[in-house]
Amino acid sequence: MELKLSEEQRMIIHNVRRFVREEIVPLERDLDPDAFELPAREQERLTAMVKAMGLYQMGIPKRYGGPGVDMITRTLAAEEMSQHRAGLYHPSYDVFGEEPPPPLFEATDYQRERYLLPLIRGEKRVFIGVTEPSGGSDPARAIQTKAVRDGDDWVINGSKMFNSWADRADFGLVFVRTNPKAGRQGISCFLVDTDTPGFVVKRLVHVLRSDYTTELAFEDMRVPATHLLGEEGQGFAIVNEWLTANRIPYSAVGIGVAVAAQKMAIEYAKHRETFGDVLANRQAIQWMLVDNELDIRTSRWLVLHAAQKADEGKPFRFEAAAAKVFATEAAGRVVDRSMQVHGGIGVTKDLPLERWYRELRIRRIGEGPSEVQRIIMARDLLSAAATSDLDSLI
Amino acid sequence: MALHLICCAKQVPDPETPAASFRIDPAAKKVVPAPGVAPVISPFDEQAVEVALKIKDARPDTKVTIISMGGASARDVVKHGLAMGADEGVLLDDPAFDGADAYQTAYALSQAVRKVGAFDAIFCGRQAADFDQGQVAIGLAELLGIPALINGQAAEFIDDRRVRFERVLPDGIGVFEAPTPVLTSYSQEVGQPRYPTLRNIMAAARKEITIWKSGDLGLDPAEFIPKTKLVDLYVPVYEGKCEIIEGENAADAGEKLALKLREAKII
Repeated sequence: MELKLSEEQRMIIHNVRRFVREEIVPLERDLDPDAFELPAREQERLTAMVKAMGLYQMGIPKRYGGPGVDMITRTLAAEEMSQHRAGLYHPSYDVFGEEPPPPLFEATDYQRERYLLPLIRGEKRVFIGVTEPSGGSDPARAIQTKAVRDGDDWVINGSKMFNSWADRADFGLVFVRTNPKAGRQGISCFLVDTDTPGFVVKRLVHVLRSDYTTELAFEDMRVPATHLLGEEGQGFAIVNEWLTANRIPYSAVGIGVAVAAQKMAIEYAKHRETFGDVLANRQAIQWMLVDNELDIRTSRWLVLHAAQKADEGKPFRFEAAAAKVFATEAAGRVVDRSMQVHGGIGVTKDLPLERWYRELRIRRIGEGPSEVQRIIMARDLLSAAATSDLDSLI
Repeated sequence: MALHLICCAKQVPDPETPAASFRIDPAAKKVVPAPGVAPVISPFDEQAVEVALKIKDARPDTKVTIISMGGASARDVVKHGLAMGADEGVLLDDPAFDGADAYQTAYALSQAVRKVGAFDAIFCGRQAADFDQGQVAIGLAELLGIPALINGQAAEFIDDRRVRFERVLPDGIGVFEAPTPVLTSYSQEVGQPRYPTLRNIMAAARKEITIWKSGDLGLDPAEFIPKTKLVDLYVPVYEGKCEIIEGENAADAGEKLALKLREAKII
């Protein structure tokens, strides 16, 4: 079985590959090994180049003036964009633009004008506020932040954890409880400007990866009712939709890093001599390289399967969860083995392996840990919502 | 007057392929493509396309035609040229072209150029990134009976009938003028070729390219014969030897080292 890409898809992916090779990788030679941003001038230059290429925010639908590139192509492009040192968390330093959270496309005219369109133009940045100190994997129960209606406003009090970019974003999708008695139907989503009085970046939270995240506090923060995204009580459905869709690119960039690590391991094994022979001739090393390849190829098919279902407009919750579990865990294994092949040099900051190794550990937790993905899949299996692979083919 | 520019482009193994993946088949005298590494347009050829497209940028009614000779996979080279902004693409694809030497390639290309029709200038890379022979461009000019300006970094049309060409010399730039039609070849001094835009990629994907077989070109069998023979193809073995120059002290050792280097005609 072979995935047949169209000429258009292949040319887009080649274009991204060449861009990363010629524009991103050389810049990293002069950057700190833990850098997560480009110098402003380079960021502007490269973003302008990507916009001129027509590949900025590839997923924006054509009705919003975007390229409307399909999910399969975007998945394979994401795999290319991440093949550099900072690529796992900042694929190509985000010069290809960050895709707006899908629920924003269903926003009101006012909200689209104020938030979605500036996001598409690259004028605003967004963060997502789901997780709280009480947890993130079970938002129906963990979300304690409360919003109380007061005239034309909602008054929000509470706190959020692990909000990447909240200190540098212009607004966020903040999920809060608007009805304490309604369980998952009691959660709503608000579009919150980060300069709203009462919006407080409580602290920067430093984690395993180079970039930090934030803890936020909302202190009597008044948000106009017009900033409610969707209907009151629809927040859980919105966050589920966003999380499910995001699992595909989240998994794809991990594969990109695994591919880059595998390339390094193969090259090194062919050159490095020990006890009178190159590593590549040692069975112990050969098996590590083969296991890497098995992990990479299996991950790619799982992610592409989810992407294909998304492109076809079919439900893909099960496939996205499967891709997320396998691809993030597999990428961790691939980088771990590649580091082992490299020996001592593999743990130095001369090579990107140590950074990928650290950062990949987070991927088994971020965007819903492996265990939660398995819960999602188990629910579908036990309710027969997941069709077996074979049944979907015959 | 609308100009017509023709670019000749070859498909080669990706020069960025890791050295450890480089393999040859000594019996077949061929380079074995590295598995999983897609071949690419030869970089100098891509730079030649860039020069042609710059002329088209300044004179949008210019027509740019890409010609490539190779197997079916060379279709990607033609499509790449179209995605960069060229208007038409021609692929010379026939088993008879397999293993063609520089002369045969130049001959087949000259026939293709004649079949394409009237043109003002031809753009080639200074040499292909695989065998680095640098023969085809000048051979093509010779066969077409037109002047050749080689190893350039830029070109522009002074008027409809004259080209101004900047040639890269070891110690500077030589500026030449030539009447059209003319063949020009380019080097890395052209700078980075443009990235295809998504719009051009989509247009290129839809565009039909013309495929010509050997019979379409009217090749004379008595003429389409190799002028060169590849006798051997091998990967040279590099050997490192180290000789320690001893001396009574540093100055003495230095002097002996200098003498040794002079004997070896290194200094």
